[in-house]
Amino acid sequence: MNTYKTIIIDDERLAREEVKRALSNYPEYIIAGEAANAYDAVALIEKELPDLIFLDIQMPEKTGFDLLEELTVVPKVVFTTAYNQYAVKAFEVNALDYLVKPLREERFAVTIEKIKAEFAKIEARKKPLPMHYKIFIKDGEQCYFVPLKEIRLIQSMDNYVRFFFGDHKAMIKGR
Amino acid sequence: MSGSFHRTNNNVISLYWICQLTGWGTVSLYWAYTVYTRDNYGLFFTLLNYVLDIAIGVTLTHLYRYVAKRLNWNTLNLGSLAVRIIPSIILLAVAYMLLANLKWHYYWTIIGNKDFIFWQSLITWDPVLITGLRLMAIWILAYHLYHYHLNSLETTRQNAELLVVAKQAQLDNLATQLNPHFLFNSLNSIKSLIIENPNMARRAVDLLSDILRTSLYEKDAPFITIKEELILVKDYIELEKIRFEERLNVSVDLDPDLENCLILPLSIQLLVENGIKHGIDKRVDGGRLTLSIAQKSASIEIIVQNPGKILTYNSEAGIGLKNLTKRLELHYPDQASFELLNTDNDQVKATLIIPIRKQ
Repeated sequence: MNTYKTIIIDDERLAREEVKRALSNYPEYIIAGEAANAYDAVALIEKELPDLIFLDIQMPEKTGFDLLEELTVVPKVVFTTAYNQYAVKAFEVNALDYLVKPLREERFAVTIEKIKAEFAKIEARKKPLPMHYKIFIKDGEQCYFVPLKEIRLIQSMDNYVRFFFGDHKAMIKGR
Repeated sequence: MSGSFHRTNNNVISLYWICQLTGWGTVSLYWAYTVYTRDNYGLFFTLLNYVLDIAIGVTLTHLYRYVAKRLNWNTLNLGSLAVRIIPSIILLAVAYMLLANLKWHYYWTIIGNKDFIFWQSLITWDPVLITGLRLMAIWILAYHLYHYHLNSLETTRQNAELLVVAKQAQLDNLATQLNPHFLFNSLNSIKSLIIENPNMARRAVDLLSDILRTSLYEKDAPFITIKEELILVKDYIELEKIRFEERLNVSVDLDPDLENCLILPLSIQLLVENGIKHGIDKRVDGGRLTLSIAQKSASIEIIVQNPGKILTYNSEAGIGLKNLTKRLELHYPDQASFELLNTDNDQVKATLIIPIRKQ
């Protein structure tokens, strides 16, 4: 089972407890810490590098949005708030989901599905392609459809990448 | 208002001319028929007579309309309008008589070669003056009735609009008074407490119920005693303490002699609520809110002090405080004062001074 480091941020302890309780049904989410304000939260996130945070918006001195702006590495974010007027802004900062308090169990299950789907996408990107897969290479007018196992060498040349396979070599522009 | 009048004018200008021309056109048909069949005017002079009749009617009434518009007669009440209409009708009828007789005189002296005395022709009043009176009365009444109708439509529309605006303000007010953020956050705390501390959860439900009851039903009374108000305020503080835990500290200092004095309901509550919402809740470490109610000469001085800073009035606090000042002015004209200040050491101080009134 993949586990995900999770941090809960809310200025009210009872509200944090509620998120914890909702999460307790999903053992793959390991709670790595909790914070009651944006200052503590930034330090905690930079230290723990969590996969996921549950974030209240209206907090003293700095809001949840302010907090996100300060992070260098931003984890996946689920907003939890009693203020439903922030939903639009929340999705503007690429939140995975936006939950209103009190959290309903069945609504929370939907959030978990979204989180799972998001992490599945990330996992899929990490997995290497099987060797029998073919990749498409286009070098100028010349196109190749090359099985991965035939590639002998990949050479980096400034902005370009050169593939060696069979009797061919093909150059493509790297990103 | 001016905008809608303008719009009406643009639409009606062509309608006015249609009415003028068809109206006078129709009325003048009768004389055209008469002069053609009875007086043998012939086709050309019958047509000329017809056009002149229309011109006379249109000119006189248009002149009237010009004056009536310039002097805003359409906005007058019925009495003052009647005083202006009746002489106008007579004046117009006389003018009509003179013009019609002038036309008639020249036709018969020049074309008909008859010998009429000019001034006698002019003042031949029967039946021309009577006709003039009838026509001008009809025209003027129709004109004013139509505008009266337009005005009443406009008034109805404006009244409806005002009603909608007033209702909307009432609704907005209600939503602020119910304070949804407070409500949902409290419900969330209670949900959490049900597992963690069922007794405290039960207590919180009691407190929340009483607070909702008070803010929903009991603000109709003009005055309540300080003692009654403080029951609500203390419930509110207790519930907020459940949410804020150690971030919120409150001390209340009341001169017991003032317990039975009358104040505006929810006035202390508003100050405490604002202090917590915009002061304590905005600070990571929270703070202490102090409420003191003391006698100062013949007045009660209510002071709420809390850490924080007023930057600008935000709209929510604005509505509550604006309402409070309005209510103060209404119930204690020039005898009450309210003041909200930033003081030293990052404190906000709200001072409400009202005259002492006993139950």
